[in-house]
Amino acid sequence: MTAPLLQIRNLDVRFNAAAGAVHVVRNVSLQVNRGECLAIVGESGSGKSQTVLAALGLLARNGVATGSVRFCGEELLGRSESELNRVRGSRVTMVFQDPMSALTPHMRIGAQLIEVLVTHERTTRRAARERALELLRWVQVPEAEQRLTQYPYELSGGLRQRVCIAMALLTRPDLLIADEPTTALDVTIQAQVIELLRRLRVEHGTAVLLITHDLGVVAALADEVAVMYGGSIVEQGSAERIFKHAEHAYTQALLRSVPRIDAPADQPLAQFTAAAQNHE
Amino acid sequence: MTESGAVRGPWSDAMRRLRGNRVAIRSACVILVLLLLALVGPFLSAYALDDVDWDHFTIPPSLSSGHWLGTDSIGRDLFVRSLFGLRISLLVAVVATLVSLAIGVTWGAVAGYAGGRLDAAMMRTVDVLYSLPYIFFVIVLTVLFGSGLYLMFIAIGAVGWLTMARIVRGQTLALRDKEFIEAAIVAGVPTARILVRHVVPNVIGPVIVYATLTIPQVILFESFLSFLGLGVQEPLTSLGKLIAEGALEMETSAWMLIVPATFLVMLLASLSLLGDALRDAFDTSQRRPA
Amino acid sequence: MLTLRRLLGALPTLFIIVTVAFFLMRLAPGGPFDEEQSSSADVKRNLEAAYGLDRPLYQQYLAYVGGVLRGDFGPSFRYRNQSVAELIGQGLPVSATLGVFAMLLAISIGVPMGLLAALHHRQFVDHAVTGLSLTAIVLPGFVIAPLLALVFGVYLQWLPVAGWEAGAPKYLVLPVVTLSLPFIAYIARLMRGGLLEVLSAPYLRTARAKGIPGRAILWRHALKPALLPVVSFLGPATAGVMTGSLVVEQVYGLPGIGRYFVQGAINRDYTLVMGVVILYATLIVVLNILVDLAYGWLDPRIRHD
Repeated sequence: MTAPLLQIRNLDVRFNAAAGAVHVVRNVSLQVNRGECLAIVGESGSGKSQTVLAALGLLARNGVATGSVRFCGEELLGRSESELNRVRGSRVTMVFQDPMSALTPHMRIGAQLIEVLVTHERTTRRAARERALELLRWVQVPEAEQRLTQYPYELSGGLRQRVCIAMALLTRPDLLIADEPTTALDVTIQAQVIELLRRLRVEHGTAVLLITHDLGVVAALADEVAVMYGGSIVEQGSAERIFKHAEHAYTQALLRSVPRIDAPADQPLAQFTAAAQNHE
Repeated sequence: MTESGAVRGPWSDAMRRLRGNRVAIRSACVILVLLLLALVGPFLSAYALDDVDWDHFTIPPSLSSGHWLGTDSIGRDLFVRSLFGLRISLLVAVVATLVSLAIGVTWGAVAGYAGGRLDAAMMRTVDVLYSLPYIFFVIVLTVLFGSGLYLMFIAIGAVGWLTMARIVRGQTLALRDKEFIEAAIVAGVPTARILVRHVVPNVIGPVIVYATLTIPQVILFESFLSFLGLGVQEPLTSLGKLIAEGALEMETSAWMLIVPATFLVMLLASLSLLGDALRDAFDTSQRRPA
Repeated sequence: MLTLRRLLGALPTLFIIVTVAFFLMRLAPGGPFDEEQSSSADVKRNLEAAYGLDRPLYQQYLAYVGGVLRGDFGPSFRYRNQSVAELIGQGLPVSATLGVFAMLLAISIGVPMGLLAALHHRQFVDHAVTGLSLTAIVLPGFVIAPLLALVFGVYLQWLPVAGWEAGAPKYLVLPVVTLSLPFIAYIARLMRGGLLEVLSAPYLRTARAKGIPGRAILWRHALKPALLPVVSFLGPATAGVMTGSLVVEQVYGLPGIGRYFVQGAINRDYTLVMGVVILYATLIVVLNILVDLAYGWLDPRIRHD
């Protein structure tokens, strides 16, 4: 079996706030293999985003991460910015939740795309521009040439997210991390984004680490699933097993809480009450 | 409610925060000392404001001569004159701020409460007046009506009401839609009464904070004008005027410049720091560590 | 185009100023000739006729407005053989040199200071910059000016204390530095605040995730929006420079417009005072428009409003 692409072991993330330390990620271990899609599922505040941000060295200033994060065998935690910059944006790329705030408002789309290629590859601006166009067309952004000269605010939310995905694919990364890529979008656009991610895996074999709280998205895309609650992983396994034979109470409750279209309208949604977590 | 059951209103919260702020306490102390000096100081010295001491022209500070901070080129005691200047600065600050308050609160409350076209017209006027620097207006006024103390009161106050009006209008607009105002209207309370008894007390908070922040500006303003010769005139004196006189003589008698300058800077610095602290103390939106 | 609209919008303000100026001058008590004790009634009448003060009010008004549009503000009431326009023409180069250099100095020192402070947030550099800014803001210009002159002119004797001599550099140093000090402080503070806010923006995190090196992030992604507060300050800053020049020109004995203005105020030279006010008002309006344009360049979203 080939070595895992991304291997996170015993990851702990704390923030030093005025009122004391906040422990947001507790002893998380997971891995993503080549060509695979791992979904991290959990509610808001479960620590799923912070896990990934810590892995890429993108935590806020008062955040401290301990443990081990290996990408292709190379340890990422604790490396310097310039060392991380060799991996970030080229072999591991990321798509964020809110496409409006993720793109620099005063830079044209073309410029934001081209700078990725110019930074990571030895390429001319013309070649970079061609590649940017190629990718914009792949994500099915209409009138791609025109888009290059536009500013983010001139595009709709769905288009912006597709631009962000295109931006993350320019360097043919081994791993794409998508942090709640569909949450800020409406349902029809969500379907399109999910389709894009599916095509990505099928056509290019890119591994995907997907963070979401939407079980529908998980079902459509994931091979493996890790369920997080309160900063820890409560259950991990193949998507099929999780959906069919969830073992942990939280996972079961999560699955139960998804409204069913065939349930009677007056039936209340299932609730889940957690035993209080002991916070340090 | 705290454990002891005492109710914590915004005032007591702010006062608590203020008391804990060391910079604020020290500034307040400095201001009090200066106030005391200004009021009582001149009585401690043997010399009056205009007394010309023929034996002691332009002498530096000395304890023996009785001129603790020296004299100016006509032999007038600098200690007494500086304190008089301090008095004038404080007087102008208070009166001019009151004038701004009076005009600004009225203007803003009426505009905010009336709404619609009257509001738009009134605030447009404010905008137009805002677009030019205060100083030139006031200087024009001094040209027309002659400089002097009373002009200072009115001119500075008449120009400083603009921001006050904006703040009050904003607050009034927010208040206008609250239910208790509606209730008062329905109950038939006349508009003037509503304004005075319901609107004004509720906008007072930010107004007071802003007024405290403007006091150093007003003092600066008056000193600036007096420095240029457009402010208070003889026989009165102001810190700005003293600084101007000192600047002329500074090559030979540096203390004539440094003494009033020090008083002014101390006053401005402590007022600014206190004003900032007050503003932070009233800013309930951000910090709540307790 | 947007600029044209702004220009047109500003015209009423200027017009109001000119009108108010005129009427205030005419209706205010104490004409410029009241101090002339030596003049007899006849001489007074002749003088008034010469200055057109005996014509009906509306005629005087039209004459004044017409003159202003042509750049003629009328004769100075004090310097009898010179027109206000002439006096302004003499003083403008001095004040303009002073003002422009002061702004340039303020920007070229204030911006890097603010940048450094923000990049080293909460470290020594940051505290130093913030502290310095506070002192510069609290010390008024008319205190700093004589003090600097005292230290550098009298004690150290490095620079001349007063005078102009056709703008020779050594006469410029103290006035320009004095005038620019508070603005260095304001700009540093604004730059620091602007950059600190941008540094926590989500799109900077995206740039980091793209592997863009820090310097490029600062330059390409962070700088433009961070400059916005500084740019919007330039409007009020110009007004402040004009105000500050009144003091600086007085203290250092520079023959600029500010000095003429103050003298005019003391001598109740109406035409001179109003002429300068109109000039200042026009400059401020023009500058505000320029600032608006710069704003649009920095933030594309505003352009299309």
